[in-house]
Amino acid sequence: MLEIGSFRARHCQGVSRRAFLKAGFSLPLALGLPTLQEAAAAETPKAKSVLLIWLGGGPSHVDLCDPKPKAPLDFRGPFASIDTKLPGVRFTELLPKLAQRSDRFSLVRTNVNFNGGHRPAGSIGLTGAVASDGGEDVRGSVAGYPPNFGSILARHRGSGSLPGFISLARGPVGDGVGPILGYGGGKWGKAHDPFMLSCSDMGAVSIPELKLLDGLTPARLEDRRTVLEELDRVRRQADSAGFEKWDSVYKRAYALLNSAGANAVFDLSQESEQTRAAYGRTSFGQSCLLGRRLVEAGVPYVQVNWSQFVEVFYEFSDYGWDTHADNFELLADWHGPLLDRVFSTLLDDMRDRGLLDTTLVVCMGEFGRTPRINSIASRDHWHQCYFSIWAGGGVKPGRVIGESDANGEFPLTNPVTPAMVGTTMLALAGVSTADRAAMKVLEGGQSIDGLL
Amino acid sequence: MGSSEPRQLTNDGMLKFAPTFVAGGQQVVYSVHDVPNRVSLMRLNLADGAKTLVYPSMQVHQFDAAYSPDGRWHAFCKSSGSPQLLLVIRDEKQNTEAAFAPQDARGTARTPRILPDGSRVIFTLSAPGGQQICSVNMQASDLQRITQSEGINCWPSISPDGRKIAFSSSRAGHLQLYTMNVDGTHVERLFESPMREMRPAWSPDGRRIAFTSVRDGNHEIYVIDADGSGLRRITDHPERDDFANWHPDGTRILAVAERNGQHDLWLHDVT
Repeated sequence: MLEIGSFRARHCQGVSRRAFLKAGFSLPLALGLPTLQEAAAAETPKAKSVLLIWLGGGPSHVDLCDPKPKAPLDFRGPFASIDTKLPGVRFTELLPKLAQRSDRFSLVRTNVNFNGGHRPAGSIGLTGAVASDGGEDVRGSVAGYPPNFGSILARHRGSGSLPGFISLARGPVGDGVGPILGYGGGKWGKAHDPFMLSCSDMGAVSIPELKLLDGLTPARLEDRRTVLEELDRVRRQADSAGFEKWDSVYKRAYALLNSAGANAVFDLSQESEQTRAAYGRTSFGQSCLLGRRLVEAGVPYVQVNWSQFVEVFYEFSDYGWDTHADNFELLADWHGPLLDRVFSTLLDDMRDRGLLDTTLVVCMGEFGRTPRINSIASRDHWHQCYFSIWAGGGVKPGRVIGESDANGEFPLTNPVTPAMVGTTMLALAGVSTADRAAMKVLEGGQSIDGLL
Repeated sequence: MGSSEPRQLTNDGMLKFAPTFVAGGQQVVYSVHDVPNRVSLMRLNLADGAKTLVYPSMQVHQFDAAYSPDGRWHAFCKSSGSPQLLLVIRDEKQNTEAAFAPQDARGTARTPRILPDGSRVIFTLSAPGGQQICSVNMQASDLQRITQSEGINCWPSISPDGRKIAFSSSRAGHLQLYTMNVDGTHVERLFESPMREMRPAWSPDGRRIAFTSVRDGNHEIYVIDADGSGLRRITDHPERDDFANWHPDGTRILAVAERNGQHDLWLHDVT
């Protein structure tokens, strides 16, 4: 069987190299041909918008959506498994609400990435890059990166009153070393980066790039004179070296703040108390609510980030999914209950508003975690097999794509690459093979078999 | 259910965990996500509702507070510049401090509990060898492993007489409640449950154990007799109830409740 590529696997324990894609898994990809499903989906777009829930840091697939209750104790972990509404599929007890809603989404159990480091894997995961380093050059520059899926869709759709690609986080997402380089426009330039918004646990919306505008609230947004004075102050204070960047940010912020209806979209107080409470008063919960409002208002691509940083308990970090230590207590205390509540509420809310008919919702991280428990009773990075959840936007609910092996280490069937994730998202959103070829992105990409 | 309506102690809604009574039940110290990228220890004065940071100048995550019954000793966990979590032991009388750092750079110390005689701190240590319940002396040295089992062992709670430890363990599969002697001998499973049972908390009279169960698919507080009989449900709400701890008078249980999406401290009557 022909090996199309290999990839370097970076782990905390060291470095390894594994053969990866086999031609038998990806013949259409190898030949650069669209599948019939993909072609049909792109011609009749099902998804007006894409809402990506990004679980940065790498959620443990074995402890959430792909438990292995019959695996040895040093693999299976301390959580019981529960039935879902998908035949033969079990979740762990950390996700009871999602298990009850599992007939409303489809589950991919065999996502694979090419790299075991957060930033390269994040870049690959968000761009579909096939290079094992995600396209990172020796200087760690963004210049050679392919564009983010959101940048592609935003460019395809063209300009609107609201940005075409919005990312919700406290700042550029990444790890303690730096942001994910594939977060935005990459080689297309900063004009194709996402517009970043931050949402606090109580729903206050701000623009992280404009640090001097801390405290910008919907009420203050209504006072355009104040906002413009503040933006002018930012501009005056920017040094000459940073002026170009600040000017770009200024223009985008100005356009956004002056666009009709933008203020109202950001104002979560316009939601009922019942709705806001259902999402929960956490930054992630209110960000998901804001994400729903943004796609409802017509933003083509919204990425809601679980946290800005992948790390959990570093001095700067905000409880990402990178649980090298204390994985099981953290998942039981915090990550599991919060994800279960918020994502279940999002699915309910989207369904009740009819938004799942026109919005594709995808929930995933850049990789999973080691099925074998590490020496300190936790789990490290694992990019050879992980999960994603797909709902709405033309995805058939109740499907299960792929099966992992007995310990959750490798796909037995249907490995799903980041390029396939991006191709599927874009196909559902109306970006055809020809469109991708014209933009020179995800060329030869293949959609996820069985999902459309 | 409790015999009277629970009393809400905080209303800021911020994420909280691991509350414990101090000062004879006049104050509560708990862990709270008070800013987006930090967990802090907060002290709540029950008389006037005033809240103050325990360590106002500390810039790292700090959580899982424990106090000796006489208030002299205080232990908590704090983050470092890596995934490593340190155990800090403070002598409030002498105003001195000692810290235990796990040998592994990624090792973590969690859930400290101070023996009633103030001789040692029991805690959970994740380090090579697994996640085990261990102890150190009050100078944060002389590490001793109390459990040596498969699976993980967590959330220790010491009986008021200092002779027993209740804890959760996955040694037989998923997380269940156990008791053992303080030296790790005579391990007994309290009962069998199809779902995880967490965070046992021994009552001040030593006769009961409060804990969190997800047996109905939701986090609820229960109380059981120390011999594993007499199960009694304390909370029943579609949102989460967790992190139970006893008031020193033994008639009330402090817990974190999620209500309308907000996380606050509530006091439940269990007479």
